[in-house]
Amino acid sequence: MTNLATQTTYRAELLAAYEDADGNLQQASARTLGILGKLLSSPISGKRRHVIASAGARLDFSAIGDGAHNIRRWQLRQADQPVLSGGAAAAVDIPADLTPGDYFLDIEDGLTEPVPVLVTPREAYQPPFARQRKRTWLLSVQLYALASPENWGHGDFGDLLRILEICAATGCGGVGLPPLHALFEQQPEEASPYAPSSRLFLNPLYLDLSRLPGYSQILEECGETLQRDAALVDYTAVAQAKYAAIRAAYLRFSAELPAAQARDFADFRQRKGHLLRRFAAFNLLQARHGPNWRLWPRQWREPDDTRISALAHEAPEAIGVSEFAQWQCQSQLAACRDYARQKGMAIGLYLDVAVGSHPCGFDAWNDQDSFLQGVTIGAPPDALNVSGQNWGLTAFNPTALIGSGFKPFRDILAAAMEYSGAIRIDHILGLNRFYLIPEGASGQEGAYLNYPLRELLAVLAHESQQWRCLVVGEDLGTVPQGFREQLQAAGIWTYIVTLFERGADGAFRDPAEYPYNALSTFATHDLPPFAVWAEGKDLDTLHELDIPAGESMAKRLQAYSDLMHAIATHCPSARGTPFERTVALLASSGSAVLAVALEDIFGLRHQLNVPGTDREYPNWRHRTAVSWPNAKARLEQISKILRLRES
Amino acid sequence: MRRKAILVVEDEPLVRAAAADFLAAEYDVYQAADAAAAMRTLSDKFVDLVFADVQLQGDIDGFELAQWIEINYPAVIVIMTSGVAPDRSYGEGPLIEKPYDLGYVRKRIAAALVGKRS
Repeated sequence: MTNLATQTTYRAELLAAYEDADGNLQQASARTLGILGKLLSSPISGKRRHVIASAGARLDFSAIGDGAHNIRRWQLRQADQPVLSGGAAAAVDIPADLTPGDYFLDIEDGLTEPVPVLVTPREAYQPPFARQRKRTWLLSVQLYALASPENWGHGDFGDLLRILEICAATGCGGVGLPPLHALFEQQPEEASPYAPSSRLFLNPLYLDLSRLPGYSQILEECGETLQRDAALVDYTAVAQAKYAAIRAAYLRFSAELPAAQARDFADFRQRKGHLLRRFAAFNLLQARHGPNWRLWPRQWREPDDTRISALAHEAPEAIGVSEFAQWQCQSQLAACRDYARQKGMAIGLYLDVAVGSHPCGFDAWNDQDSFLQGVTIGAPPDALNVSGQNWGLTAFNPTALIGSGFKPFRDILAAAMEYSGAIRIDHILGLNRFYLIPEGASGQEGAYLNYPLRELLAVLAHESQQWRCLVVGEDLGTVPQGFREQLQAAGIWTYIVTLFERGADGAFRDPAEYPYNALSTFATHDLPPFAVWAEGKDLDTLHELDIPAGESMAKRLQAYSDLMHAIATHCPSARGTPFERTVALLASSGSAVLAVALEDIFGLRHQLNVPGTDREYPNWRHRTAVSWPNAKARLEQISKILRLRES
Repeated sequence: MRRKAILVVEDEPLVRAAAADFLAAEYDVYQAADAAAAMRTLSDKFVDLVFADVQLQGDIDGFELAQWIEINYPAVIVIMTSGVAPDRSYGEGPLIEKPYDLGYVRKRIAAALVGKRS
């Protein structure tokens, strides 16, 4: 049996040297190692011992640490229900059929407090279609960028419901979305869904206002100034109009308080507890004191629930509006989830989970023990980025994570899995190690820190089973040897991007060879849409931005020719436009799930995000205009090409 | 290669300007008259080293500023200066006593920045 108790298997280690992309050994700077070492050795206050143990594993009492030596009796219980007990022993064998979940271990040795034990499953959830070796496809949609006739200049959950209706009618297995995490209400131009304020809450800009109470009056009051057919999302204007409308809806709601809805709202507040109140207070404090909580007055630099209660008493409306917005987000997104379930869609919603949150955001403020303060994550220098990359996102403190039984990680997963049939973990390599950069150091001065991969995978598998949610790990790039095998063993699916599936000679790999437990897609939001890629327009954009493209136009033309050759070879019966023939090629993919981008179907002419740029390119802003009848017709066309995937 | 950036935090305008002008020959130099302004600058700009007076106007002194930097910008080097010899020190190396010789300040800064990559 394997001992999977966390206390004995993981030690935080900073890697003094690492191998770069070319296989050369790079030394981390002594200064950086010193700074990070000091941060990691800081004591974490008020944390209890927790144990993660896989069902069927042996839990060694020595893993629990001090005290658990002279054991007279022990008992494993779930809430108040004993499930196992015994006398003097050094270990307990957890039965393989014990239901995974949260337990407590009581040890009668006179010293040890009850120890929380998370019993985890052997692997993550595998949906029914996968157990039957069937295949399906998803429509991926950059929802914020959707320009529909109804929305207020920013895609919303009403659009999502309409898309789901079309998908359900055309045999599509679900809809893939970017992270829906809460961004910064006071800084709407900080629009990257991958740099959120909080991965625990939703972005109210996705609210379909027409579903809020008193919409017709709201429309009269707040809806006149928007340019709904603008080519780019105008986040400032959208935020101004939508938050004004949400506030108006809240005021109307609190004045009228319809009984059933008032009960729902009260239940929601109670369920979310002090965390929701803190989140609302955080938004208010940002409005008062600025975006960076590290610059706030001393008394607000840490959350204090007593002070927050006083704040809520002083400014009930501002707090109420934030809480109301989250309640409505939860309700509208849950309605989308429920619709997909009713229609029996193979997956339903496929949500993306960002790799970290913004250091100035709610998550970092709310739980200052669990996130490494003064440190961001990134990537070391390589041929394209000689200065390294700083993604400007927080990282978990692994020691604190273990001390809290991985609760912050579990909460982030649950916040996405609650609504989804599948999630994508961005940069899943982060479960194994992160390249950390202390604030004030350049991207070249980082160092790698290992993370408790085995325990994180066990926790991920547990949450996946709890929520019946498939997990796809974004595992692009160079990964350590054996990493993908570990993911596979944990039931985590791999992520395949066709554009990267090419041999040294440039030839595209036959998609039929892709592994079954995978989600494949032609490109990602960080790559050009098909129409842009096919013409090499993205290379012009990079040239204009003075960013090394790493590819010449001649190479691109060759790549396009290689793609057409792959279609002719592997999918000779393909007909239609180059994009439709490409879809036909992807339809032959061996992977269980294929994602097709709405932006590709509608021929978007701009790249949504150009990595390495900030304000010099309108990232996350290019809109895709759709009319619903046209969307239905196009989806039906695509679904005909993809029908062969159902076998 | 980018020039390294220094933030001079000093509430006496003439002293601050003299240090900033002197250091500007080799570094990008930002100036702050108090700790709050220094904290804002650190949040907005990439700074390699802070050269700060202990006695600052406002409710945050130089020591508290240095502690704040250590938590939030741990890779930023801090060198402190003071006109009254305090009973404690903080930052990289011993505190520089005022009035200081700018040549000595430059040497201390250069030594502290050795090994910090651009």
